[in-house]
Amino acid sequence: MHSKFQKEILQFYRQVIKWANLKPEPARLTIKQYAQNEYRKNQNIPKKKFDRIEFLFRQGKNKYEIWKDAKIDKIQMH
Amino acid sequence: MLQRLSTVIRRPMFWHGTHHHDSNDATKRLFDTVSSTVKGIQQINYVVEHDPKLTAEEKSKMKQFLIYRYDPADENDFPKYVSYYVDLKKIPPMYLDALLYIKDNYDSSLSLRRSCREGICGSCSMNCNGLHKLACIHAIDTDLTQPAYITPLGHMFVVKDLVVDMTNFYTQYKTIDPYLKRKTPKEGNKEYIQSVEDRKLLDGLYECVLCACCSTSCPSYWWHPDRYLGPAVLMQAYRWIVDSRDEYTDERLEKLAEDVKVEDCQNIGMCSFTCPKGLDPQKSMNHLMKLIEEYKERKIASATL
Repeated sequence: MHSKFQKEILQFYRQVIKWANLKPEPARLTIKQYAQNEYRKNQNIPKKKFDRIEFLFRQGKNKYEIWKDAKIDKIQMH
Repeated sequence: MLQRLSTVIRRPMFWHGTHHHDSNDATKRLFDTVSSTVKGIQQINYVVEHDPKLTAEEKSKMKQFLIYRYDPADENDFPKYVSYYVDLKKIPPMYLDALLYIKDNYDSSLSLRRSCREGICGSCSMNCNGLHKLACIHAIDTDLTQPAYITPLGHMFVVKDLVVDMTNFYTQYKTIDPYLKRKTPKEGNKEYIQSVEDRKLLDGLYECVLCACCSTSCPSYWWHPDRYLGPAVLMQAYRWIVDSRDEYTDERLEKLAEDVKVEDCQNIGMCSFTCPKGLDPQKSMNHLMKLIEEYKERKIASATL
């Protein structure tokens, strides 16, 4: 069973994917890849390090707040 | 000649209200307990010496600074105090000067916000020795036997070292509409007329630089940062209500009266105690609550008519 905090993080992931699905083509794919990459990179952080998890979650939320109303062409990772 | 000297050595010019308030005993006792718990916690936490090769003799001539360091983006880092020794004769007297000296000469990875170096921009607000102050106008205590603790603003998320996340504070400030709103246009094409007495009502309110020192030292704001607006924002709300040029007073009072926004103020008094510009948010908030009570009575009276 997931804890409440884990559920929040997964709900946020779904929110980002839903938002990305409404975007036109090059943006949609790159945003999904970006979100998936970020989640996969940090999927193995132990549950105990909730400081780090909270920090990454807040960072993700801040990015979402800033980008959700913007017109995005695509997100590229170098 | 002697007469001219005595006129030159004048008392320094203060901004309106920078004399220290005659805080009553309750506030002083509260501050002592709060700062001693803060210092107590600071003392038992992890301290790292930045330069372990200093001799005791060298250390005795320098002031020890214990600065909170934490980089949340680095997964192996944890919050700690790093101790730096600074010779006070080499630096100007303020905390910001010590921090910039440390950043220039010892450890350039120290992160802090600063801009005007004269207490007018509100960037460098941080916890200096237990009190929330602006580092650029708060003088270092020259007692070399005691260390100086510098930590970021209390109960806020840390972005790095002494830099904190202020987005909640700014969004709350935006909700009170901090600008002049008029229903009738100006007479002529010059300016909104205001009498001298009405302008005096704004003294002690307009000098606020939104440094967030007061809000982050209010225990009520620590426990309810989402719903309580905090002393800084409420003092600015009062500033716009009391401004005679603004014509939306009733609407502003209505907006403040509807939620629990103002009622969380328990008259603790830490806001006025810690204001680095010497302002008095506690007094303004008491006035504001009185105005809201009067407005509510007027509303009930006019509804029953």
